[in-house]
Amino acid sequence: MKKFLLIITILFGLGSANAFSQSVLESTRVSGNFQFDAQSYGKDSLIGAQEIKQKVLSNGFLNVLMSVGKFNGGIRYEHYLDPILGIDTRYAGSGIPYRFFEFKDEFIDVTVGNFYQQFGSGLVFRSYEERVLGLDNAMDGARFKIRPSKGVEFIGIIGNQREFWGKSAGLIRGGDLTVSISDLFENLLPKGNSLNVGGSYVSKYQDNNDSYYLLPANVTATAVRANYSTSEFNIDAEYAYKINDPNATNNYNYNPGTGFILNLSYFPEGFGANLNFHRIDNFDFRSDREAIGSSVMMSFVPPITKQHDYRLTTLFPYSTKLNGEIGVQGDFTYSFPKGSWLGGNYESYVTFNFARVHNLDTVRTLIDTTTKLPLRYEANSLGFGKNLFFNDLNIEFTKKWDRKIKTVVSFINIEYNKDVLEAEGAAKYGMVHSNTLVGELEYKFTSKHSLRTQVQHLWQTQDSTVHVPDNQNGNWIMFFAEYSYSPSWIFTVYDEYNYGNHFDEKKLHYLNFNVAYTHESSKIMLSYGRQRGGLLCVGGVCRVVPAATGISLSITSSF
Amino acid sequence: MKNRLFLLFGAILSAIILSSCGDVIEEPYVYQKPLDTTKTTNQKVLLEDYTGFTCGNCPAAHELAAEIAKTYSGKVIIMAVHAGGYAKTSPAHSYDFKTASGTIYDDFFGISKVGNPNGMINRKGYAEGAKNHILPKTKWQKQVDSALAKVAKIELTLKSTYNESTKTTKIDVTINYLGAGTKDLNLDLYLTEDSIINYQTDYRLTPPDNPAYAHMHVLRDTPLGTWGELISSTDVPAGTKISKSYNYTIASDKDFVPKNMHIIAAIHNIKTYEIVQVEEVSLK
Repeated sequence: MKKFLLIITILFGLGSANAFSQSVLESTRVSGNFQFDAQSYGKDSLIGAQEIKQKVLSNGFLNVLMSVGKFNGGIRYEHYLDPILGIDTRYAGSGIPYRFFEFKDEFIDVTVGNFYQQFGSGLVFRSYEERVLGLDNAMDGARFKIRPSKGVEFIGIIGNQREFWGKSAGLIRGGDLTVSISDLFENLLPKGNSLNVGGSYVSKYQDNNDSYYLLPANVTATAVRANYSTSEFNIDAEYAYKINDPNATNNYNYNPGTGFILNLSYFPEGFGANLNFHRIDNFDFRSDREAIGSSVMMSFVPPITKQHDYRLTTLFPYSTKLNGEIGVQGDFTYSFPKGSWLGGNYESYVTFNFARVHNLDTVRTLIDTTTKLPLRYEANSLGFGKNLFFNDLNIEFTKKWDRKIKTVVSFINIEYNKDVLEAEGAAKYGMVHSNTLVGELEYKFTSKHSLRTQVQHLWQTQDSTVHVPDNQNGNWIMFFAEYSYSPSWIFTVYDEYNYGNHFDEKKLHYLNFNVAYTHESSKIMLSYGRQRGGLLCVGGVCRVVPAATGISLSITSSF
Repeated sequence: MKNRLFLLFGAILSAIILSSCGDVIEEPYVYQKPLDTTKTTNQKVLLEDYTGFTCGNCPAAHELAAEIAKTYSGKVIIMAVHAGGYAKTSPAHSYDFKTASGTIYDDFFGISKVGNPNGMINRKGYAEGAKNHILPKTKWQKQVDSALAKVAKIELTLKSTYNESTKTTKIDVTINYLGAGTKDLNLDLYLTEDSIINYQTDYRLTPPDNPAYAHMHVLRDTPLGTWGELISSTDVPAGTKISKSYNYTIASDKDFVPKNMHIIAAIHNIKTYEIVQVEEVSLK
């Protein structure tokens, strides 16, 4: 690449400019990454897998970034030919949806083109990409960041969000200020303590030309936040308020929205505790009031439940209910001291996690006589509503016995309101009660060869009045083995078996084989098997994963 | 340092001024002004409401559609197409409202992919890859309003003569070209049924179940197939009248109730898919 640039410079540079060109060349860096995913789909009527006319679908991404001194620029090429099942079909096609140019120094950053940005915890604004969800609400416009003194930063943004291959209907303007009190006044707080305060203001403009509702063209949201931390303690709080924002997700309700997040952490030697609380009321904020699904979101609420990795527990992911939920989470980790009975000579710790999310207790105060939908409501109290959405109690014990053996035992109890979380409130399944027990054993033969095995068992009942024949109900067992030959090869095989399904024809095995090869910064992965349908959630935002049987290939590389 | 702080406050101030203040709406939230229903043109409109019996937000849309039809009495014809995920049957709710053609329309126009309830007004605005034709219920009124403002170039007359003993109806359609017509027009026939009493999810109720909901305007069959048939293979001069006659027999395995049924005739442009005229008549 440098040679290429040198030729360009020689061709275009005149004698006097050569010294300058030389220095530009030395400060030039090109980097990037590449991802390609393809999947073949075969007919498998037992699991409800559709047959795809194209047989193979693929998504691909290429990022190229170039920096020259204080300047950065980049593009992203994407293709969805056609989108892998579960990714919104409106992505079909290819092109360059993301390109930007940036200038950066100590005092100011200026970005034009596309950018991602988050204000505070994201309550009033978060523009981000989550590729596995098919979510990309990148901004297209301009951003500046000004740092007038140490500990003070102001960010201003203007632009439209990406909506598939087009732009969202609303125009977003906003600003965010972060002030680090401890940096600004160095002797104010004891050493090692830090105090930050911040505030954000976001306004969305969208044409309000509607013949039925009187709609606000400009919807604004404001948030304030503070963070205090010491070497053993951290407290984070944010409060946000949004003016009336009738939209498709709240059924054109005129209530203002509020959001409150509180996080407390305490982490002395050998112990860690986190407590989280949030109350979110009518806070689905998007740059297009008619958008549904996960497109053109502006607000983001950090999830208040643990994101489980064990395969069987992913049957019950939690998706944040932005239009009304109240939740609490506790998370504790304790490391056993070395030499103690449980501690032994190697690492040994236990984690305990608890989360509970309810609806808000509200009462309708004004109903539209035509649509019969509530135009206003009042929160009866600030407390928990009667409807439980999700409850999770889990404990995990990890112990390394010696240099070769490591074990993990995990127990997870989840109450999952499937009607609310999957069927938009229709009385279809009722509450799902589940217990999962996981045992994991990792054995290192040599420094290069190792084997990881897992057995998972899920007990499950649902108090449904109705039994919809699905590929999820009843007990499950899963066996998993992964053999690694480092640094290059990983072989995996696992089988999920829904032996307790209430319908005999749905007592199915979901067998999967997977091989991955890594070479420097490139990875190639090939899988074959049956994938069960369900929900995939990242950060409380979910998409449907359709059941599928076939081969999938994934290639990632960075340069 | 001081200069820079001043600069910062200047930046914040200008940002606040630039981003206008929000519009807080006071009651009433819904327009109260009477709509202009004095439209005298002969144009009629097809309002297609894509729906499903497990779609809890759909009953509100059904009611809004009915309200719009009432406002423009006789000029708005409703067709409820049950298709997509919300129309899937289950052992508890095994009654299947779906039709093969309805599912094809839903796939083709991409409606349930975007979500229910959603609809189309005369299928206007369709273009491959775009979604301008898919309208949330809040946009129906406005689109109906602008569609009705047009002066129709075609007049449709429709007659149904039902024979009880053979369960057959004779459908007579007359297409009257008030202006010159192109050859790119198809005639469609749709059969709809009112008052089918069955389950419907309704989020306005607690619990959100209505075991005896009256399903109205349900698309039941397409006597001329999914996309109808070509009216004329050549362009048609103004003043031409084309008459067509069809027989439709209710299949013996169908639970259709003839007295609750309607026949809709529509003419659509085969290139743009837009419906240019529509008419409705009782089957019996």
